[in-house]
Amino acid sequence: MNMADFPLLSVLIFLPFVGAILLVALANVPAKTLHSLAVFLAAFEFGLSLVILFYFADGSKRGYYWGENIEWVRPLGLNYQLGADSISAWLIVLTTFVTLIAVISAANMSQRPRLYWAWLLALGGSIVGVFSSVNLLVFYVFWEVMLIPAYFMIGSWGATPGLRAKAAIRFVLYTLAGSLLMLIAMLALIFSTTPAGGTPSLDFVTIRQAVANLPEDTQRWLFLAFAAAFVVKVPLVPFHSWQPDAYVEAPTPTTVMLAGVMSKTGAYGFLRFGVLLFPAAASFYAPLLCGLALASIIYGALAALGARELKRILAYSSLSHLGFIVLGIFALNNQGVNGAVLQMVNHGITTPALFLAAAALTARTGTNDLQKMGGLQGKWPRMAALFLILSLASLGLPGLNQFAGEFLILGGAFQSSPVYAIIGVIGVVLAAWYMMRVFQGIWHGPEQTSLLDQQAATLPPTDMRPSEYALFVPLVLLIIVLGVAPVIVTGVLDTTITDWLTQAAKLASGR
Amino acid sequence: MPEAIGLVLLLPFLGFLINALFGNRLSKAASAWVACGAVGLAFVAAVVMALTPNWPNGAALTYDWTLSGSWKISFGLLADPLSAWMCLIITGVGFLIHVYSIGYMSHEPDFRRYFAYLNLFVTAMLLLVTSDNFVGLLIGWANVGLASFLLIGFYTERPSAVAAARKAIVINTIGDVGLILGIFTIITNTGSLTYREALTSGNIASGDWRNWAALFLFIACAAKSAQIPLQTWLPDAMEGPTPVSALIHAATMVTAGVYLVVRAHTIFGASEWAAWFIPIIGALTAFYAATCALAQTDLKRVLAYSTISQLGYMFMAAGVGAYEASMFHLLTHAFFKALLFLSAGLVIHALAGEQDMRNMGGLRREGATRFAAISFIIGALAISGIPIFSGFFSKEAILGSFPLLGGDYVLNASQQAAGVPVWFLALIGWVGVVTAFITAFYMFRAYFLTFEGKTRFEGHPHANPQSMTVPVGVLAVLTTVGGFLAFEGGWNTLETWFAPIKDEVAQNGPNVWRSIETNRFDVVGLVIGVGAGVAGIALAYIIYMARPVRVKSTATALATMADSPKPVLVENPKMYAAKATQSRRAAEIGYIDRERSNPGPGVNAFLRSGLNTFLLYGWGFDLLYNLLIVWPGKGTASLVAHWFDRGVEQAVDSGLGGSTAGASKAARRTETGFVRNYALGILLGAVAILIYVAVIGLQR
Amino acid sequence: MTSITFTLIVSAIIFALGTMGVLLRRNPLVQFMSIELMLNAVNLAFISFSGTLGTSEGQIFVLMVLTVAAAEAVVGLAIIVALFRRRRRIDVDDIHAMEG
Repeated sequence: MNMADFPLLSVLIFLPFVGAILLVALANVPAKTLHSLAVFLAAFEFGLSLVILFYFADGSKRGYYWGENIEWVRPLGLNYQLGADSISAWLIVLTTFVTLIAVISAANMSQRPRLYWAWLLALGGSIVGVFSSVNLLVFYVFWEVMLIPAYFMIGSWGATPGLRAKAAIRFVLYTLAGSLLMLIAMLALIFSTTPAGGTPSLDFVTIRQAVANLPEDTQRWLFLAFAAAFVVKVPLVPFHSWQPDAYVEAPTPTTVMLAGVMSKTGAYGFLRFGVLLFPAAASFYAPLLCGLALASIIYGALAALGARELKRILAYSSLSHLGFIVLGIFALNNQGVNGAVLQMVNHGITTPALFLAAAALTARTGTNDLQKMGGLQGKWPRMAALFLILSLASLGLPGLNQFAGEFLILGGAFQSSPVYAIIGVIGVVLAAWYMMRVFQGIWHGPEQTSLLDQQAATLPPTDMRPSEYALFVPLVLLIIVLGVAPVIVTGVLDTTITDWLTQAAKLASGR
Repeated sequence: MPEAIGLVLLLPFLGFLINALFGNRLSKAASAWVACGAVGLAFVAAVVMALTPNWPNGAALTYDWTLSGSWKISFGLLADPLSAWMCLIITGVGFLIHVYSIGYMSHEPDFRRYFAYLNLFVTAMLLLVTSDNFVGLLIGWANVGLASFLLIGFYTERPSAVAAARKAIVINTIGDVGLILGIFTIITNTGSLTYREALTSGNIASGDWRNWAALFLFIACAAKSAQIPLQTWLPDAMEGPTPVSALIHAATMVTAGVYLVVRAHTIFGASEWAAWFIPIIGALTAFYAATCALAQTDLKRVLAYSTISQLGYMFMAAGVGAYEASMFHLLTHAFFKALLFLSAGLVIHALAGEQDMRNMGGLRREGATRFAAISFIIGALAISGIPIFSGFFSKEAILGSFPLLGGDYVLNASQQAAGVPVWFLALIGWVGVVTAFITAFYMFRAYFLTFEGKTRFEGHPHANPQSMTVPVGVLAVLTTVGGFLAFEGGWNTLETWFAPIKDEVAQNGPNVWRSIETNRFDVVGLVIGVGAGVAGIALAYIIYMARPVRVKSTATALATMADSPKPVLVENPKMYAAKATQSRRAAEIGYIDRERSNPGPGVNAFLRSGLNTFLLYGWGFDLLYNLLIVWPGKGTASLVAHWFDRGVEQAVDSGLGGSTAGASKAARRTETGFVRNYALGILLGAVAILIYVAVIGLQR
Repeated sequence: MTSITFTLIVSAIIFALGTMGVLLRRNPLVQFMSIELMLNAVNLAFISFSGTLGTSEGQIFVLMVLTVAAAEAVVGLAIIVALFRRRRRIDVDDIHAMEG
């Protein structure tokens, strides 16, 4: 039996759900033990997902592997159909990794921790489902399932009682508005591509062929409807209003999941169900989406430059960075797409690290406000060093991970149109400006410890603790390794992306 | 042994790692030994590499960096004459400055952090010059910027240092993105980023892309080497410790731009635009910075503007293809400018942090600073282009590549293509001569104000340790004899040294290389060049030593200064008084709070006192950028974050949300709760459907 | 007048009577009976069509309607009994808890 015949993807999706149920069901076990169980499950899940990645590691595998296909609802063409190519493989590994980090960092949840850990695991499982769906409706199902844990985590565990419910509702409404359009488009796809009397199919590979035969107008409308879902999820300006509040209100482990992987589902959707599913329409609308991406880059950077709360700044910077990722995807060439996927991985490592570091700092200072901090380097030099590395990674310092992605993305954009790249690099300069404003604002300048809110602090004012080293050192090492040798990611992706794009070009022109 | 290049790079990196990770467990001495030892050994390795110049045909230690479709970017180290030349400067001068730092920084509690940063800088700088491709160059390029940022802001508790550091890294990032765009232009048009392939590609023969590539790359050069219009960060960078200024902001990092022009000279040489804009920007910057140096009162800022000016010289030369002259001046400048900075450092250290020349004077007569006076004057003579000293040779080499008096000047390939007229080059050359005159003037102004005349400081200068004086001595010797490198009767290594590069390029691209004509130093050029220097020195002597100059203001604050030679510059008396009290206090805490004495580029300060202020604040560039970019940028950012983004949010909430709520309010009126109403509704609906079916449906 | 026209007219009259009963009466029990009346009017129409057209679908539908009506009666009467127990006086216009 071939290794790839084992239903590993299903295991990866449902194991966290089983774990979540266990966590809720085991009412009498002490929370500490349950947290260990949750961490163990997440770690096990991460280990399993590495199997998939190593399967693709030689970079020669083309198309989907680890396929599963079970008939579910025949009249809709809905098969429970999973599969992974090397793009999915990286993103699945990213998801399980970030979930692990999030679960570890949620150790000290004060209210209803068991339920919280359960939601975290469930969110991780559903995101894995999104990345491994090969059937459009299965994708949609997981896409919506993602909302549920996220909604409850923001709404019930959020930071400010008055605001969290609002943030959660806004998040759900925005996302739903987009994704319902996508659902309609999927139904339209079913009706318009099913031959009279035939069985519909929503299998990604078959439906791509069918899409190419649709009239060009139809393709464009369908593409726009799909894009509506993704543009909100990513998000891009001007569909981002849910994002800063959701990121700020959500408890940090949830923010880690939202910013680290959930935002990537939107970008992934753009790639898989935008560019690759509707290649002709995607190239027609590429200027529009590149425009939105550039607007997000600049807008996010400016907002980050102006904002005062640490977490909000990071949320805006995330907006800016995701603009880069979408820009790369709609550069519609190998470098852009490869860079975008690489950047999804990079951003999925850097941003969680930044949010966690911000939380660790806030736990000591009791404040989130940049203007109340200053000159802390003398107090906590090691944490300052950590912040420095993370800030540098985030602003795209060459030699650290995010640079590699930005380089390829901008290179792709440059080939698409030099103007995109020139506007894009303004975002890079602004990133240096706002990241250094944050870094220096906290750590340099005259010491301002008197302004810190010691009452609100939850941790004693010490430098990094051993548990924090354990969390951050691997992240920092990853940041450096992926910066020095991004080929680890791009080498695996290269064949797949070349194949997909060649097919897409053929489909786009072959009509 | 070109393989030694790996060692050159590895050693400082190990030094960095040890000091960064285990610094807190090392004693100060151990930390210093690690840092200096690493750079010293790297210098030995660089010498080994350079002395056995069996230049390899390929690069050493390559690996694939990234891979994406047609872009296969691999890394490697390249040992060739140019990188070896730079390695020798970086590790050699770097080692001396490391040793000097031991004494200079000995009072610092953050001693180890300092040395970690310094080693990080050396590593990045070496990566910059030894990389065999543009991406490696970029990584080095950005990381020297990072090290520079860290070291400028080394005194983290000083707001002015923090601001200067941020300014430096933002402007340097502008340069980085210029380099990135240049790289994209190059790889899309030549298909490679490895120098060996990209710079000798057949596509260089034609196309508009060469102009764009040259322009983008030059943005990077201008940012890194502080050329107009991106020069404003360098004077502020003087907030860093003095050895840092010597190493990063004089000898090495700021010359990276010159290195890049020389390294990528097939592209620059092939570009018609570059044939115009590089000499123009070089000459303009040289002149601009020299004038600014005239008005500075801070000793280090004089030297900073002087550095900008000298870099302008190097670009002038590189812009007309005189790459050897440019690299030669880079070398001698590394010697004499490092010497000047370190001498200034001796003074500052001896005066416990005093940097303002108005509070110095007469230091030559003090035992503790006599050595500094001698070494400073050697540096000043070299930069003024006085014969024997190294600066003379390199400056003559640069001026010699311009047709000062017309004559039989041969335009090179790119100048011909661009249609550059000879008179234009002559004009550029004459700007260089005028600049040489101003240079000699301000440098000796600085010397006289600092070391001659009445004593204007308080207390006793204390002696400098040997770890500081010995490196200065070595640099003084190098400054004196370094110029003979190019001399026909001497070693004449320069031309033979760069021959491999010149030959390689001559086979593959337009020949723009303009060799130093060492045996044809023409007499007219000599007279003009040396004459300008001597005239400048003489004028400075007349103004600052021989003829007393009246103090402009009669205010009491200045009255105390009336009997001093002429250190008093045009200043607002109120400002001066504040300054005087502050510097006393500053002497105690070890540094000057320049933020207040130099209120920065505010509108008022700019308008206060005419030409002097104009020059003091560097022609108001800071103000201009603040008005055009920084303030609008911050304002927009603030608007976006606090007003616009929330506004959109609320508009969506009250717009979409509100209208939905209103609609639902209206709709719920229909829900009466009475069963019979609902039943009636159902009936009416059924009737309507029946009518529809009967009237319309049956017509079909 | 054929037999189907006759039965259909009868069916329509019964249906209209039922409808008026539902709309005008306020006693739920009477409303309930009126609904049964409407259902049976429809059943009558089904049967007559079935007989005329000679197909069996109409009869099948009648059986279906009877089943549903029986189920509905069970639930509905239970509700009415529950209401009566609680309120003693049952007038549908008194009950409007579902008002929006």
